[in-house]
Amino acid sequence: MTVALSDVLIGVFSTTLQLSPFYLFAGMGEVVSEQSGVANMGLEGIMLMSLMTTFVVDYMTGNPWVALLAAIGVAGVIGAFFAFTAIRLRVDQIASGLAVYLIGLGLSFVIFNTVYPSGLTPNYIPLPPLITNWNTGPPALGIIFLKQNVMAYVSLVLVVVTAFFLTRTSLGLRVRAVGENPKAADNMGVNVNKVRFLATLFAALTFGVAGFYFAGNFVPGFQTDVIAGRGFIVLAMIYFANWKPYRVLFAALSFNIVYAAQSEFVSLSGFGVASISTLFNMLPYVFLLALIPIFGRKARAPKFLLKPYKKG
Amino acid sequence: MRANTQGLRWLRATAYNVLAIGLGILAGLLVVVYAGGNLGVALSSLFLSPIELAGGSQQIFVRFVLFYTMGMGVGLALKAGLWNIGAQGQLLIGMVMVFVVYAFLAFLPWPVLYVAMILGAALGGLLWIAVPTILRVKFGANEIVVTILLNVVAINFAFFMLSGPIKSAGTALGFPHSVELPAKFQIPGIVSSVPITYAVPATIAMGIILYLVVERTPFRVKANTVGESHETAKYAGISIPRVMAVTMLTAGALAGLAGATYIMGYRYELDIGSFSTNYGLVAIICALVGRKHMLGIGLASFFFAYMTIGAESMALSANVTTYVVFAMEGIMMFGILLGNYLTERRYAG
Amino acid sequence: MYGTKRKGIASLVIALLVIILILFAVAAYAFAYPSTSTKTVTNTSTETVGTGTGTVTSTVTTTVTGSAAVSAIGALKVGIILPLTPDDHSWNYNAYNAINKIKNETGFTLSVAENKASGTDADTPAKQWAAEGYNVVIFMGGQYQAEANTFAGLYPKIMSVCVDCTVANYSNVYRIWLDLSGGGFVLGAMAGMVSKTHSFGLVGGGDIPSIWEGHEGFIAGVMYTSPATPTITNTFEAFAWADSTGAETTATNDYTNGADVVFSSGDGIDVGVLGAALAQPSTPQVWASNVYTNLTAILPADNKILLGSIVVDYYTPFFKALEQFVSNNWHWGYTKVDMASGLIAVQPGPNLPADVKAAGLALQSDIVEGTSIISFASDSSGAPYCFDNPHASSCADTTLTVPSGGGMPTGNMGALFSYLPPVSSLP
Repeated sequence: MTVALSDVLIGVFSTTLQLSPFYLFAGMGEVVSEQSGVANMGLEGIMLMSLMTTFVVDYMTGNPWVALLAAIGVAGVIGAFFAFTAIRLRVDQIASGLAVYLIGLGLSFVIFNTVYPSGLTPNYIPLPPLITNWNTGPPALGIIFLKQNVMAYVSLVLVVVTAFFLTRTSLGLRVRAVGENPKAADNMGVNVNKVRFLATLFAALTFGVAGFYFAGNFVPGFQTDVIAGRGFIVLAMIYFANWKPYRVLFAALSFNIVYAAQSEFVSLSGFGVASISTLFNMLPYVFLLALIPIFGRKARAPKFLLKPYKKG
Repeated sequence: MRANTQGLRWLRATAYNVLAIGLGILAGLLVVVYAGGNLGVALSSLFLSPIELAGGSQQIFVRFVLFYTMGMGVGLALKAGLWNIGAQGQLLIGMVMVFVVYAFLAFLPWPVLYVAMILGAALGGLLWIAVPTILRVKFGANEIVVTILLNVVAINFAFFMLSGPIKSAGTALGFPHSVELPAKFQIPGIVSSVPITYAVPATIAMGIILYLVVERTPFRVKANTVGESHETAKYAGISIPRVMAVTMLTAGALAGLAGATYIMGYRYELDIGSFSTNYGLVAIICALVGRKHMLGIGLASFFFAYMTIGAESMALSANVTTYVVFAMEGIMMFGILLGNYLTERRYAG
Repeated sequence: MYGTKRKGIASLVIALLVIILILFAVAAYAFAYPSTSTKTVTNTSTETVGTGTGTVTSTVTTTVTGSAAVSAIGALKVGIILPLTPDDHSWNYNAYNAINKIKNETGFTLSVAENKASGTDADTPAKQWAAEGYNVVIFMGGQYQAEANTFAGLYPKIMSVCVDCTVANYSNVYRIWLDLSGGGFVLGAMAGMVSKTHSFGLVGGGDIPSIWEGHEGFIAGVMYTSPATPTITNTFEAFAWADSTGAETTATNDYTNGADVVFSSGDGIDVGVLGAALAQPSTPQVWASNVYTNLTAILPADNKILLGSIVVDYYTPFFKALEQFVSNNWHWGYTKVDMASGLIAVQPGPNLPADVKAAGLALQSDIVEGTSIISFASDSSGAPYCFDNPHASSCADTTLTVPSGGGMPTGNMGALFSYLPPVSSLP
């Protein structure tokens, strides 16, 4: 099939910009949380609950903004609970994260099934695209931006804000201090657990937004195991980005570029055969793995990541 | 006096575990009742269906073997402070390897091929965890992150193999499907009237051996020390890379081996139904419930084998989605962690 | 001091044991005196198998016979096994709503097992139903074929309904076979007329004969009406019908690569493809189709992207099977669900130009009336020849020539037609 290269590139960039915000929202939250010393392995469970809430509330009210609020609210509740157990009760973060994942996975579908048992769901009403008229530049370029709703741009802004927050604001520096050396921070008068709690809660809220964004951009309806491990990939991205927000942006964009490119390539080449496309499906993940020798050597986790802090 | 405290501590921890499990079951029952199901039928399905349904008791032992084998690996790695989240991926690779060996080493005589299939599966799991192990030992790369990535790659790889090299020709209308292993290559039952295959005593024997090798030798202390503090381990002269490598590679091999017992002892073929399970996670839960003890994990595995089958049956009777079982497992896991916290708080002082 | 600690723990353990014993007692009681669990499901199904404007007369081959049959059906216990969940607005949705509608009319006991990806997964609920005295188990998909037959052998009194299966080894296997080629052809013909770029994408949920036949029908339809040589991209999704996200990406790629019509066949695939179509900017106009369910009732009324739905009637074949079961003439039962039997119809999308709609419905009418019969050459294994040999020269799908004045077309299409009218004669 003869397709213009420019069309292909536009398509790849468009898909990348459409998919990346999901990873960016979650990534920014988790970066802040892990910099303070708490890792939330249950992020996919929270995302599933938020995703389910998004669909249900959107179906009921027809208003995606209300759905966004509801999604954030649900994520906040679960996140607060997780934060309490991880920080105050000091249970093992990885294990409790996995438990949150399981609960989110099961409960989201149970609730959805109870509300809509026969699958008779109305249509999902998404956020409208932000830019509806593209007059300023080449029309082909417009395709990249015409589809995206406002949240996509918010995610990019969030990256900048997070980077600024962590490096230039006093609260941000406190967050990092708490993750690097909580004892010293405590001696300086920082309430270690409170900072960690806020960071973890913030992370959970971003997971709620990520779950909201997943609706309509990845899939137009709620189905079983729809997120399919993408939440966990965020953890890998943060690791390879050495806990720096701009590098997370790079990791997310490059991961999705590889994903979009291989998908486009498989479509164009007319392989059409399921077995070959699974081989190509592996590329984005292998790509992330290949980053280890490049970035992994210098990867330095926050020193007290996963280690609970007890005062005194 | 000290034995008393240890015994009390164990008793208390177990009591909390039981309470946590009860909470999970209660949550499941609540969902059933809310969905309009009959409570009596639900309880009957939950507790009794694994033994009274046709094939139910066979499934108990199949899952027991699965969870115990994988759980021992996870528990062993956990002793050294390493999380094998990749058990699910290693399990899949093990399953694929059974058929790879079957297809490509078919020239071997039967008994050799049979053993080769089992060993091949274990080798597959070991190779699959080798990458995270090397990266962890050599580069300090977090094994959780790498194993998670490899889980996704494993699903894709297994699907590729299933659609190509190990695909069976002609049957099942083009659904990706492997060949069905003939009776010679299945794990035989011990007595025809009882649905237990040789995999069960073999797994129990393995559990006992691992118990003797790990719990009753200096290795236990070595692993625990590495798990608690690398500095202490260094001062004690323990070779940290060695301990990490041994535990991780064993964990991977065990997960691959579990794949072999699952296919050769129960499923006899590979199809996409095996890809969407969460047995790796349940194995982690069993390792935690069994408190990383090679025999304790066995008890936990048996319990969870029974419980998951009963819960799925309960969900079906009540016309509730079987996903409720995931939620129950999660609540149980959470309860167990809280129980651990309460126990530690009481005894850590 | 240790005494109180011991007492504390002892009482805790005893309390737990008592609770467990109570639960066991309740369970044993329920086991001894089982009560039937009933669940009321309120469901409003708003499907209409039928047509817009046009001259299609579809005659349904069986009718409901009297109240005696209905009350006998009401005493049955029926279980249905679904590969996914009804949220796909497609295969599972249609099956679930069809059987639920019968349940609401007759009052039988219905149990649903969802998310059973393969035959082995279907085994557990099927055996559980057998133990609970169920009469009918519906295996909703060809992937259950082996399991349905094994199960039928073990439980000869239970009717194993096998939808989309090619093989029945026992007399208690009731086959419902699905042929989508007619629907695909009508959609393809309409697509060929309405497309501006003459580029088409197809996204299928699995490389199996019934889905493949639908694709072949669509490709033939496109070749038939497209004024220029069309570009066709035929993809079968890697993770099959459950992979809606993969389907959405594939469909988006197809649109980016210039296709303006994407044909979707099945389950989660439909969800993804429609999502991709809805996400495309409103100009240039793109189209998508779906299978099994009438989407005109579900999508918003002002949707522009729906080419059409291939609507499948499962209510009638299910009812017929249950009816035959209670009147004891159900052995070796078989129903073919296709366009010629009136059980499949194409519902054109609301935004199609009127002449395109009319043309499609005229072709549908030809198929229903038997003027135009679609068939596939089969090979020794019973599967379509071109399905097993897609690269054979007679299966390349590149030419379709209709003799002037109408007649049997020639070419190398997988789908064979007994007759097609000349394109110019279509409305």
